[in-house]
Amino acid sequence: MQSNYLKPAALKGLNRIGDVLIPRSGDLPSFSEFGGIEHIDDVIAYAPKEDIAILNLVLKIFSFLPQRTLRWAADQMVGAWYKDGALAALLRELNIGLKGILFSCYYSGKAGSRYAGKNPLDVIGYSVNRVED
Amino acid sequence: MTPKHEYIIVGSGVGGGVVSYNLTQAGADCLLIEAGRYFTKETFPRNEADASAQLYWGGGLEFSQDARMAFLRGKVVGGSTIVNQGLLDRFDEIALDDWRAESGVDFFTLEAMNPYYDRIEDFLAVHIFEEQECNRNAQLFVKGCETLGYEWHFLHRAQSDCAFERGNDCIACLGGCHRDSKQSTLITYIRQAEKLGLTVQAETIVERVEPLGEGFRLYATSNGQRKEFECRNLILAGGTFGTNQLMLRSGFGINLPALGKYFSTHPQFMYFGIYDEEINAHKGMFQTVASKDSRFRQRGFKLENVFAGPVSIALLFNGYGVDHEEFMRDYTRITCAEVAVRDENAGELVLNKKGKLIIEKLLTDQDRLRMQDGAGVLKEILAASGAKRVVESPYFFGLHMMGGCRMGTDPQSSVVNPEFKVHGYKNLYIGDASLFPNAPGINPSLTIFALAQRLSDQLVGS
Repeated sequence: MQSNYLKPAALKGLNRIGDVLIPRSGDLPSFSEFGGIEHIDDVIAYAPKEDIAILNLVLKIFSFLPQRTLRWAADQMVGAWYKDGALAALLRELNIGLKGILFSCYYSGKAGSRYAGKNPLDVIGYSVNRVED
Repeated sequence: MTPKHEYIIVGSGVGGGVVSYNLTQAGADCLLIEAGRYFTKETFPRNEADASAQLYWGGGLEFSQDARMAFLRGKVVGGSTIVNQGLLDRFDEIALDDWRAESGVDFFTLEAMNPYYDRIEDFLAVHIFEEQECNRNAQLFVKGCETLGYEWHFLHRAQSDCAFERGNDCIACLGGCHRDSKQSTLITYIRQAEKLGLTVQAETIVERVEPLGEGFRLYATSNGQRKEFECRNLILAGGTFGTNQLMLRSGFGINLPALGKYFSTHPQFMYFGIYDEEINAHKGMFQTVASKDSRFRQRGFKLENVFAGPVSIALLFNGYGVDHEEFMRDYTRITCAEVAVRDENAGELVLNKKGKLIIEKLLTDQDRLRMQDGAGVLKEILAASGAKRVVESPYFFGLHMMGGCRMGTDPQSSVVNPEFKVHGYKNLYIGDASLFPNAPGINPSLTIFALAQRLSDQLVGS
């Protein structure tokens, strides 16, 4: 897949950290299995350019870090809510920024072209009825 | 050659919408500039992720400098009235007495404000929710309050026809109302003003303004192109962040020592109750009740029954992997309510070297005590309504950004005078929540509407 905003290494990194935060579990697909990343440009097209530049850098690093280190990074981001200091602030921003992107791809309802399993929205029971005149 | 307008209004939310309409109706030549896109009920995004990306500044969220607090503000024609819940509450004597004492402005009284509240409520379609419209989330909140003897009330919302009886789920309208029921300024004031001759310049960000004789020149970018506009009278209504940023970038801080100071935001802390039964908090009218207990008011917090789509709910949960999966599998068995704190106006808005707005907003000791007080009460309410466990989100949100250009009689401690004019400038006005002297502890929309109506009357009268 291609993106107008994220480089191939960053896309690989997004899938890898995505699978740490959202692994496969029963009928809920993992982040990469669901393939919502194919719609990544819908999610980040309106983000500030400087944020996208930082995202490319961070996700490129995530593309080659060992799995164990990615889990350690995830733990640090979660734990940053209970710590003070500039590094903790950076980790908090990274945490909510990354999760915002991942969950937007995962819970948007838009699956990847090769995914044939259950949609996460159906699994958790989310449906919205729009009555439009 | 740039056209010279009689009025330029920057920002199309509550203040900008009201003032644009009233001035245009009075025959003035007005240009309304908005950074966001012009959507209609047919073109609003149709899922939560797309709405978040397309309708908000920052592509979704913005953060305080320490990244503990996230802010949501609309970037769309209609401003935050497109994405908010349209809740309308009048201020009480506590709020207005505090404003009057802090600002020296004598019209901050119920007697002076009520006629403006009346006019706005007459202009908009306002609905008071009823018992049969409460979904299970609201029913359980009420049950908890009544079990413990706390007062609650049905919310007042600006909406005309939400088709509740035909099964419409209102949560979708957080991404823009697809029925033109929610009374955003787009469908109420701006569309009417356009019919009367208002020009709307969407997708245009005003970067800087410069005094030019008795008027102003505006430097803007629109889809990558530089643009300039000129006007005789300038009304800033870009919301607290937008107006402060523009004022600071334009150098007004040199003569206005209070610019950017006294920022507050009603920080909101989210709590989830997990139940054995199906709740489906996202169905039907998803926000209908709130606390109305005078004891809470005196203690500086209120409780509101809320909910959100799965992207937001997942984001609010601070866990990953199996923890996230287990929490989200309970999505239909979750209730949600928030503690909203009447915070001290100790925040400050400043610029970094690149001109980016930096939001310095830490909780004070008093803010924390109020949050803890409210959280204790809310946990009791959730337990009394049958929650088997309570999950606390570490994130807190600022949805009501206020101050930084506050109104007052003293130019040393305020930015605009009681005539909404920036101190020392003849034709520069501010008409949004940035002029709030401090946090009222009450939903601010209706009062922004009312103050914008007062500003409109003043301008039309002059």
